[in-house]
Amino acid sequence: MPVKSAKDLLEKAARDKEFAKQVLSNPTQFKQEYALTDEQLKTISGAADMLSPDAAYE
Amino acid sequence: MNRFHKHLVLSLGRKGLGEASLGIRLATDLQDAGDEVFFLAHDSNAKLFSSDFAHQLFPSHASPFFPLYLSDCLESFAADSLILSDYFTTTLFFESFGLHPEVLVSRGRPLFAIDTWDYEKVSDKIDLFVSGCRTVSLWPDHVIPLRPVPFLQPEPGRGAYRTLPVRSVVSEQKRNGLRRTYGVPAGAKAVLFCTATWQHAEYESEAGRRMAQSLPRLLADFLAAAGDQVHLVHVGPQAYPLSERMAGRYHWLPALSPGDFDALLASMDLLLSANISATTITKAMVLHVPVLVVENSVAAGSLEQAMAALPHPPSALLESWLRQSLPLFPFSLWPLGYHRFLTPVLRNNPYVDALERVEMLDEATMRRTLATLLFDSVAREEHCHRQQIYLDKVRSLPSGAQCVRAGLAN
Repeated sequence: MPVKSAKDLLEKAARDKEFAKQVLSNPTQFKQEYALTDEQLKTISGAADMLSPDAAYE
Repeated sequence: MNRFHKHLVLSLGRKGLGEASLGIRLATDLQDAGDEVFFLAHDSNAKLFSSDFAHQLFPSHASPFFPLYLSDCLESFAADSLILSDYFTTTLFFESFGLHPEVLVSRGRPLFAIDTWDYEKVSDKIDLFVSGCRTVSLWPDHVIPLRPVPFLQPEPGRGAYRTLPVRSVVSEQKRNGLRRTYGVPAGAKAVLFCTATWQHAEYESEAGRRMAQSLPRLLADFLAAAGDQVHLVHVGPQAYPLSERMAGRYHWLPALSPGDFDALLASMDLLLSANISATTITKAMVLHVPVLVVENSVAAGSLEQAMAALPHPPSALLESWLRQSLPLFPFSLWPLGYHRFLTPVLRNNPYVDALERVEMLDEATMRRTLATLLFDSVAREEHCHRQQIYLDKVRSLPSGAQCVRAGLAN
């Protein structure tokens, strides 16, 4: 089975909103499948922790 | 020897195209100078990207992954610099997703920022609606500001650079054909009004929501009074219920591709704007289309307060509009405000000499200005001459590519 990468995860997250939500809610679950480095995993976990309501004043 | 560079441009604005347009103009300039450019952009800007620029888009729901998208881009595109298009929308994006500027700074590249508002001159507090205030998080220790002219002051040496769109030539035949397509008959006058997504947003401020809905009604009343040959062409994400008010002379179009939009703008007799910083204004100037900007400096919680601020007793129409639109708050960027915030950059700025600014409640001046700009050919020529003087001043500034290269050399 070809090894998937973080790039594949990003492409799928862009296409599939539900998948993006799943990754943000439990990034560890996707570490092996997408060969995520500890740094990448930390970045995703950090992003999930910091999510705040969208700023409206743009 | 001239060394060519690679630049990664970030266009993270999500509710308007103006900021990304500035990035595209800068990127065009850099490409013309021999450099390579790649865009990483929120997909709301997709309409602006043609095959001219390599780009990667990401949607809102994938925005929390931004640091990974950035790493991915930098892996395949070894950029010498990062360019924020623009500074403000990038800081908003970072704030929304709890990101720290270190996400950018840690990449070890010079960080240029298109500083649309000139943060050295304005306050970090933006006036919003009636009494709201938004404090902007700035990164002065990290960014090299690039100051786009228009609409900032043409001050060489402070990172001010010329950013003028290319003038598209539209033949008389195409112009007439386009006007017919959009519902404007021969001999009529066409006034263009453009809105962005953020001007239709459901803001928390009730006064903001009311003003967002009511200003188009007032403008339609002014245009209807200017004559039954005056048509309003509106380009924006949603139509306004103005057909009856304009007796069928209101024509709505959704957002257009840049080429189609330029052809439409070139076919208009007047650009009417309620956003003094709109990038469309510069496009109009380059196309010799007169520009009328509507602003409001009156704060009024009651009809009495509003009446006291009027230069003349109001018409029945204006009085009726006021009753439905209170409270009033000052704005230079309708419907948000930004009136106090933008005052320092508009003071002594030759940009304002190249357009007409009219107060929203000044009926007499509004009617006179509309009549002049639409029907008086001598006045229109004089207006376009002022635009030309201003544009010549802008053309004497360094290009964006020259400013970026100077920044890289330091």
